[in-house]
Amino acid sequence: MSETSPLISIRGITKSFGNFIAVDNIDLDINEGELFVLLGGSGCGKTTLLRMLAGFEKPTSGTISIEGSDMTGVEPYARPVNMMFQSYALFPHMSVERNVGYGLKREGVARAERKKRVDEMLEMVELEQFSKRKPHQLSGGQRQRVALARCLIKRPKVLLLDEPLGALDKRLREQTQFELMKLQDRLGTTFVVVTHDQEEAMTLATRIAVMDQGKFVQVGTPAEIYEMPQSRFVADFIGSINMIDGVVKSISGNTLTIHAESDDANYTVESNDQIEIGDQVSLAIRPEKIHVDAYDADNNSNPSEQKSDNTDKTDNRFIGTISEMAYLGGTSTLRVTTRGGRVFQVTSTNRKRHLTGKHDLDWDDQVEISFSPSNAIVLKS
Amino acid sequence: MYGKRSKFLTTCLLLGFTFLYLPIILMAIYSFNYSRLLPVWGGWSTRWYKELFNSPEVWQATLLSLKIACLTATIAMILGTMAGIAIVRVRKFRGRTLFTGMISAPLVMPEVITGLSLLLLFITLQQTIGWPQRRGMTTITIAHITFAMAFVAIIIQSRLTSSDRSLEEAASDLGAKPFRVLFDITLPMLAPGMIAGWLLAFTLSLDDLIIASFVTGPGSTTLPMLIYSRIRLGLKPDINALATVMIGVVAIVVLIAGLLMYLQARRSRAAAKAEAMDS
Repeated sequence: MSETSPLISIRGITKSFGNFIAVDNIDLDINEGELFVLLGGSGCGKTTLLRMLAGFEKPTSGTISIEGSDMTGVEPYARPVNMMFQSYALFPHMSVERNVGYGLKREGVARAERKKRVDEMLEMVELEQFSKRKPHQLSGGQRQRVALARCLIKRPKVLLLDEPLGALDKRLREQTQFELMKLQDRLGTTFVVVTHDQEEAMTLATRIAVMDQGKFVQVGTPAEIYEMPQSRFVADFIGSINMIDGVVKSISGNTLTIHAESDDANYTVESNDQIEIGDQVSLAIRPEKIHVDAYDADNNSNPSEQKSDNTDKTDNRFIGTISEMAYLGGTSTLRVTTRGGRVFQVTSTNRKRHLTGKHDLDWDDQVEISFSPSNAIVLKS
Repeated sequence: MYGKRSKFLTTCLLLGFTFLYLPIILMAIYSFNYSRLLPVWGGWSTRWYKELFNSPEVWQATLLSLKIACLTATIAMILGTMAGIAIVRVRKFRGRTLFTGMISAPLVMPEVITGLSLLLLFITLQQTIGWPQRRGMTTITIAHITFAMAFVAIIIQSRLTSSDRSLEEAASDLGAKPFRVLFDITLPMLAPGMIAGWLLAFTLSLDDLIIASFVTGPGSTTLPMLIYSRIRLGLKPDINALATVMIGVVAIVVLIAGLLMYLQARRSRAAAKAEAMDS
């Protein structure tokens, strides 16, 4: 927690619709200048939380304060926040210019000043030449920029964005992501973004809150969320991951040996958590953290056996067969079935160019996969 | 499906249109009939049009009907829109379900019952508070508003339910107080529905014979009432002429509206094309 007081502070906020609890007793602080992302599947309560910040939903209990002043009972039009809607909600009967200027007009800004600021804003989002158009005469990306300009012109303390890139196609989305970040950096406005797209969350966020069933499952930086998930849900939700269930067999220092029943294999992993021998845990390893090598049966003297008790070498090594392979250009995704029968998903970077389309690795090839104990994660829940 | 249209379908289409429009065409033709007897052809003439222009009775009835229809349509549009907004947008208020049910009751109520009950109401009012002093245009208009409003409310309700709530939320988010949101966003959004409601109320009022007959008083004869009474006394062809004039006026209005809509569509298509050129 930072020394300055947080810009937004949420305490014990709960929202229920009848019997359904959309947001369940959440505490959260968001600091000035953050780009905070609420990430979760549909129905996890992320949008409800955002709408409570905007004032469209009244919390069942709990308080929200912005800049230290309590927002309970403050109507949406009086809050120092602006929201960009998923549908953009551009007023269809107004031109781009009037859409963008609407907030200032309601503030009572004089016509000349308003025109100046609208022009500035349109210039910033590169839409000067479209000022007289109606929203239906714009493309999806242009509409998104109008919606953004309309929110930003009021210079809000906090900008709330509901799936800001959801309606754009993939190419435009990537480009817009960076524009959004640049803009946020330049203006210093605090952004709170709701998204279900984990890639988008990783790219944009300074901090992510992963939500499930109205609760925060984990809050942290993108790297923390990705590299140090605290639960199976988070590990599974963000990126792909190989999950191995097993029992802790031995502990030496911070190195654990985990025995998995299903493929009767031992795995070594490093962990600083409080874990006892006999605990039921899951070992999680990201596909790109597994090393894959072509395996030549003739040159390996001791290939098939895993070096299980060798804690200084520490590599988890397994021999397997490529049972599936997907070529994605820059990388390939492999599914390797080990001799124990476990399937590992492995990402390998295609460093060399193969003009013939023939790769080092191919279907049904024998390979050796390995990963370092420090790269795996132990999850208790 | 994309080949030649089948002969069967074309025949069906022609028969359908004939059934719809032949009576109207016949009526228009007979309005130029010289003969006084309706079904006897006596050669072409504009005699009944002249007679129509010289018949104060018909003009008075037409004028009264139009006045009532305009008033009804305007007031029913305002009240119906308010009712529709109250049903959809205003969060829970006491008796909302009852209100919603009652607003649509006139839709299913037989007209004779509506007419009779309103007549009783007006008589009671006259006896207790002395208003309305005489039954006539005022009472007919009030009666028409009562049932036309229900239709407007239904139109507005359906348009509001299918509309994007976030537009109003966005306006409120940008600093507009509820009343401003209503005038800046909700009403412009509802404008097509309100126009449709106005037109519907106008036609309903212009059409109505039964309710008007109940609540009218001496000297206030609307056009449908006049035509109906003439049928009983024997129809004169000047009614044909009047109907033809009305159809002509309606056709011209529809044509102009269609033309305007076509021009607007072409303009926005052109703009879209221009944008495609830009990028």
